[in-house]
Amino acid sequence: MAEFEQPSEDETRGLSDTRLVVGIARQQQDSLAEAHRRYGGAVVALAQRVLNNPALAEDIAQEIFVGLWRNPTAFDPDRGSLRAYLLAQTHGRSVDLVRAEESRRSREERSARLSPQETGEVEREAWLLFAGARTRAALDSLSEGERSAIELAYFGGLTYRQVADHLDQPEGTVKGRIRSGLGRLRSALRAEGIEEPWQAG
Amino acid sequence: MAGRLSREELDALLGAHALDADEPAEREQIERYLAENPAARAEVDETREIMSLLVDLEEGPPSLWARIQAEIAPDPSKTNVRPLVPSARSRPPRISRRVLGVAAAAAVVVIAVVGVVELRDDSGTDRVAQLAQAAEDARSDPDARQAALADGDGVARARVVYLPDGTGYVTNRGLAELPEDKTYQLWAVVDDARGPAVVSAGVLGPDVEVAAFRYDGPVRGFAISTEDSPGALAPHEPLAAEGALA
Repeated sequence: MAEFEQPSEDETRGLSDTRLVVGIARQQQDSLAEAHRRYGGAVVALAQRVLNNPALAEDIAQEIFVGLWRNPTAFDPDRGSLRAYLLAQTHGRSVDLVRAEESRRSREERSARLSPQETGEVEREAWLLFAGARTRAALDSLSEGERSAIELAYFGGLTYRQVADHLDQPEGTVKGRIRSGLGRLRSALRAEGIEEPWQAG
Repeated sequence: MAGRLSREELDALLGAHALDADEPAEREQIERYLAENPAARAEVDETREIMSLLVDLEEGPPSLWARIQAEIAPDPSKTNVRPLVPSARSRPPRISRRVLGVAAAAAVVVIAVVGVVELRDDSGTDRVAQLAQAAEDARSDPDARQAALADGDGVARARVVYLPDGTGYVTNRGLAELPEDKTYQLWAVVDDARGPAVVSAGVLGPDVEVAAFRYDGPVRGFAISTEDSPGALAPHEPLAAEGALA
């Protein structure tokens, strides 16, 4: 039977992400289990960071992995790593949920959650999630305006217009800071030799 | 609805788009732009790759895997528990005869994953208290069947109460907390066409207090194994605890 064609657990652990997705496409649960083992914690952590709700975060994570199981061809290895794909899906889905809930939430409550003045550099909490000292250093090297705009957009789940409103800055300025900050980040990581990181994995 | 955006405007939005921070009204135009512009798409992909590096890689929690497994598992009522056929290069896994309560020295293990909902919630003692109360209520149900799950020395390690509708609760009565990289897994002991067998009934995590599960179908007992990773297809022996339903 097909189950006996699956690689052993040890073999599965040694598979590349792309091979894992091939296994998932063949409906091998071991492959999905391994993908979950590798990236499940990160998916939950990112969703929780954006949603600030552990139960919803796990719902999103479940949705992301079940989505990979049901539609593995949506992952294109030529466009990046499985980790980046799963986390991008997670982020997009989490942001959608945050925005859908905004109509039910008071603006004040959300504002309080995002206010650095009240929480003491609340976005710094996100650094606890960060691996890669060099990546963090690159982010830290950005200007305050760039960094705060990126953090509010990514971890706060805000649109650039909402970021502009939150920071009391013109939309164009915020849009420009996000892009220039990300460009600086990419350049810094390239200079560190972290270029096309998915190729190494 | 956003007006038609110029190429410069679209380029300026690539960073925001990579962070899902673009406005919904602009997204469709940006997506179209990306489909036609490999350089722009590469910028977005690379940005997302970098952002993914910022999130710690931690192993997925067993509770999440149990939920995923439950959702992707085939409906057991439709598949009727598929037995594995032993092959020349794979010995069928065995479980101890005592759990089966019969003279089945070499029971074939049925490997199938059933629709299990693992309800353990690490985040709230309230949730644990609710589950404990639900388990207590189930025990008082006159139609409930119960099992004391004991280790190899006969020491009771867990109790299971199982209701006719397939709902069950497992309560820790002495299972030691495991290291974070291991997990307990619950198994239903069933009768297969070729004899007794076990079927995964849920992943309990390394430090279970009380958990709810669902298993539909005839079952004669339960067992708990200790696994290196969630969602094992066959129980690792020796079993941590096992026992027949009364």
